[in-house]
Amino acid sequence: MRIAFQEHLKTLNRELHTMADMVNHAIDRSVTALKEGDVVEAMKIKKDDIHINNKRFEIEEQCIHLIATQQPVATQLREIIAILNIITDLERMGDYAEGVAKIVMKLNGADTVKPLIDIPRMAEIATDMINLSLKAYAERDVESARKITLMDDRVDELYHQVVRELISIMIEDPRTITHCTYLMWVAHNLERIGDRVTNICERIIFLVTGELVENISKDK
Amino acid sequence: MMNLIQTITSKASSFPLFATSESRQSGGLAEAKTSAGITGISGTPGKEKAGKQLRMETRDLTVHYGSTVGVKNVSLPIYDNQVLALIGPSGCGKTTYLRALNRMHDLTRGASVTGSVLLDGKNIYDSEVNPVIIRRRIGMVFQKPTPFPTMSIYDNVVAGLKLVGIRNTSVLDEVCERALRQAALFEEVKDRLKSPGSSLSGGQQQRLSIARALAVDPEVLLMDEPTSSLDPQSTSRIEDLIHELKHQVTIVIVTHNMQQAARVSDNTAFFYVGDLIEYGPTSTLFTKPKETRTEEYITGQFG
Repeated sequence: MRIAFQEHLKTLNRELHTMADMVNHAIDRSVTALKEGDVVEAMKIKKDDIHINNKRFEIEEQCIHLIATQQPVATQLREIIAILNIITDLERMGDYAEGVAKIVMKLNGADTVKPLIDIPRMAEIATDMINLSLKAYAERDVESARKITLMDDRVDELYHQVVRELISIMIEDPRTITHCTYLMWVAHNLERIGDRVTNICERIIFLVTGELVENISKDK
Repeated sequence: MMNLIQTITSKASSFPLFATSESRQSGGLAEAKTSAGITGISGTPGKEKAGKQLRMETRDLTVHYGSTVGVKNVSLPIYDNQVLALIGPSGCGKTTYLRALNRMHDLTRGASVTGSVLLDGKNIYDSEVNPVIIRRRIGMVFQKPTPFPTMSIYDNVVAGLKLVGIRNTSVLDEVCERALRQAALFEEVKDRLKSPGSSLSGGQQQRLSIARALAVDPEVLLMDEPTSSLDPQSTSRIEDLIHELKHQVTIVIVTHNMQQAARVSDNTAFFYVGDLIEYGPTSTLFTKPKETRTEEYITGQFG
């Protein structure tokens, strides 16, 4: 029964995965542009963020339509509410990628003050977290959702490491302050992406159990 | 108003179940303590809203029609000034359960009821209890509006009072206006109280039926799909009315419309083939039901 509704939900979930792919791609591109000092690519990334924003509104409209016309309850209601929250997090992650691209534009092709190792590593973990969280969402896997949040601790560690390193570079040579500050913003953006993925994980737990939880990795 | 209550009370004083407000309260308090002990169903109603008072309670209520079981061992609390919705597919026993709450099955040939239905802690099926008094304390509104066809709007409302011998016009006038106002119908009919009840629209007739039920000042109002024959506008008026009325009476409503159950009730009970499957706060039951069958039913996967 309610076959049309089920079909709508499936479409919605496909769209959600498409949006997650778009965000992942944006993060990858922005960090690659940073490594390569590719201002032209950065400008494209900045421009492309509109597609992520539009996808978010598309999905949101579909959610509103389903709530208004199908009056979902129980798991179906929680699924739609979870999607509404997840797209908000994904959209912000897209903004963080755009933020990295803007910094690439500000750096304007200048050589970086240090070899970029930890920052790309942060981006790698963050995009892995996004992929795993969407997989856990699709599989309704609470255990995986909890584990993913532990990965955020690694992102945080790398962030603090990057900050410490950049501070010592600035102390040594104050001429690098502007440049280092830009890189700190990059690291901060990536760190925030990890936090946003933990929000998604909390939503997976809500979807499956109906419980609204916060800081699930710390609860463990 | 007090005069009226005293009049009815004095007329009913020979019936032990016609409780005064004082004894109602103490009965409710005493019973609230026992509600946490209800077992065999999901949810822990007694724990979830401490401080609520029990108005009614069924314990192991079973209704047979001949050899067929309509409702099996249902134990449920019914809290004061709250709305309890009974939901479930056709034939699940929800109407049978509702009708057992004011001894309507007494009138059904072959029907038998076991277990107990407590009103303020006293079993309404005890042999010394007068079912007529019970039905005055526990009013009923049916699926289809039931105005007495030959009676005026006014006479429809005060019919229950006249039945117990109240003839004082000023008392009847006062009750008529109060009941019609409670049923949100007064403004629409105040200039034509002498017109036949059957001259009203369907939605108005249903509110007239509610006014008639309210005229005798019941403590509990049972509603059996009260809006199923009404248009959306009349339905929404009745739902608004339920919100208003629950401050004065305890309401149990049977509905096929799950959104209606979700909108109007504080607690919901889901029945399936005569069994109570799940009971709990409405918001919980519609967002995270504990039982798979509840989830399947409310999401439209069966029924």
